Amino acid sequence: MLEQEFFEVWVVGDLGEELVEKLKEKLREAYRRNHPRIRFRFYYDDAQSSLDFEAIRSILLENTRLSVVIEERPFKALESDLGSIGGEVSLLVSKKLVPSMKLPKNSRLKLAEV
Amino acid sequence: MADARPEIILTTDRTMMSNHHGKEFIGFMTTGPAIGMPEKLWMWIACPKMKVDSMGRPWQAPYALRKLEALLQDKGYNAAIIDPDYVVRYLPDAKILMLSHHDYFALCPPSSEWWLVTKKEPVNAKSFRNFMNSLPIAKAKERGLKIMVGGPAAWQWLYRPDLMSRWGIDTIVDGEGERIVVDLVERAYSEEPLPRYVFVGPGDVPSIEEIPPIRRPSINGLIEIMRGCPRGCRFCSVTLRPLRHMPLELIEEEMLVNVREGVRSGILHSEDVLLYGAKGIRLNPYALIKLHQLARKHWESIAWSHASLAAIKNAEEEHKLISRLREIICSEGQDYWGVEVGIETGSVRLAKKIMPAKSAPYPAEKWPEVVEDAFAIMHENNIIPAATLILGLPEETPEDVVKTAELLDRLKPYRSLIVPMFFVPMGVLKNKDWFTDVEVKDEHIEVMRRCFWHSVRWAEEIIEKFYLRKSHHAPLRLLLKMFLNYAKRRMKAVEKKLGVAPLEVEAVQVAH
Repeated sequence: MLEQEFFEVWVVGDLGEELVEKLKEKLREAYRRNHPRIRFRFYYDDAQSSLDFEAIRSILLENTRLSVVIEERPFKALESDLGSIGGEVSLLVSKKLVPSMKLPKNSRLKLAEV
Repeated sequence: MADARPEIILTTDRTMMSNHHGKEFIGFMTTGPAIGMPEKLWMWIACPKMKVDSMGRPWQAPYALRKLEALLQDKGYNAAIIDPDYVVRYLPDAKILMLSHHDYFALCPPSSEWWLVTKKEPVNAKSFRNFMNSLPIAKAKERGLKIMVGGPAAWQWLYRPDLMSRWGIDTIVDGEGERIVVDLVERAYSEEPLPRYVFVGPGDVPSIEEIPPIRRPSINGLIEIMRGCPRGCRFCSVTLRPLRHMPLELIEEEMLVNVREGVRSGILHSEDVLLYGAKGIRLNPYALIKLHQLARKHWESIAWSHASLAAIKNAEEEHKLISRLREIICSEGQDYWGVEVGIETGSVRLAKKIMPAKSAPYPAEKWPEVVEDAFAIMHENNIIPAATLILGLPEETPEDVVKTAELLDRLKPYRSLIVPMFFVPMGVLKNKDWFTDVEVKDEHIEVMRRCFWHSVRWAEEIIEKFYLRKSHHAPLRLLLKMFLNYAKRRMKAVEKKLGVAPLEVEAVQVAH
């Protein structure tokens, strides 16, 4: 199942209210586009960081129709991950981090500042 | 698996790894705290230890774990279900620990209302916590052990991130596991990062061909005959998954797995046993008769896990099917059988909103009549139902609860146990406010009281005349009767304290 095609949503930055809302929007977009599965991938700068389940729980509980996979990756892996994307990826990045990031030019990468 | 030390351990705590003395319904006692007796005694009644082999592999194990064990063994992995008392023996060498549970933290009904009413933590949550705390997890994690949690209560981990960190849980798997578990195991073996959470949506559930037969006995011979449900009730998660009917060949193979190892009675498991082989909700008497003839051929006694009240009424009224199935089931020494049924509400208004198809083929407006007629049919045919009600559903009004109380009065003459449950957000309602966030109202207390007296009255007869009537059940029978007497005394004291008229004096008119 993990090798199937997913509606990819990758996240860089802390999970604030605005970002949670954005993730819910993405979930609804996946519904509209009839994707059977969605992957949320969270990138962390700090190795000690881990997923804020309290924040993301409402998103997960809202879903009943799609398969959902949540992954955590170190921030340093983002560049190589972006370099090898096969399909469309929505990258949600915290506004304060955008200036410091070098993102590859790729038509399949949809960047959103949050 | 041969006799090698397992690298993948599948397990759960004692409250789940028990056959409850061969009486599935006694397993419900694991959802409560010890009441009126020491906890050790309560645990012995509710979940005695399972017989194990020299490796600590249990004689019987939860069916879902058996499915995963078979799947992994079929793929060549060294995987085995291990009794919780023996897990520590294998942890130093294990690569993966897989856990499953119906109610890890006692957040599901009926554990949640036991907890609310008694203010004491139910033994299932306590037992699971003690089991996890007893394992040398930190050392095993340092060595690279991966821990995956799943089962029907997987969602509960989303409410306990603290325990995920404390016990080093790597992955939560919510949903049917057949298509995802091998992927996860492959990743763990190749030391690739594991996802933190996987929800298996309706599009990724396995086909029948992907579901392997179990290789060793399941608890009380439980065997799945269907997955999914077509009724679409909004509070239920099962209904979100497509309907699949297991072929008779697979069912028979699993019956024989159990019988060969001495489990000679069984439970047909489905969300609605009477829909086996059906087209939507159109019953298939031929398929049901074949299924029960097969069960009769191999089993000494037959039980159903769940059936819908509408299907019970429809089966009898349209096909005389309950009577025909009774002729098959109640032979060769068996004279009753048990089943879980859902009343959920006595309110037509609420039924139309949250479970419009539960009464089908009858209109939702007829729901209370459907319930009463089905109870009468079950009573006449020696089917003993354990029925559930849901309190605190979204949009519930006091009038809805009063309607439920009125329906309970109409069900008094029918042999049954009725358990009120507080709403837990599952199915498409799973993002709604949780009942425990709102006030328990007087009407709820009234319904709970009615359920209590109804169930206590009938429990005495069920224990004495049906469930535990054999001489070797005497100690268990005595302990349960002591518990019932204790519970009655406590309820009377509560009623006195609340200043409400005791319900016990309203003697039940029994329809014998």
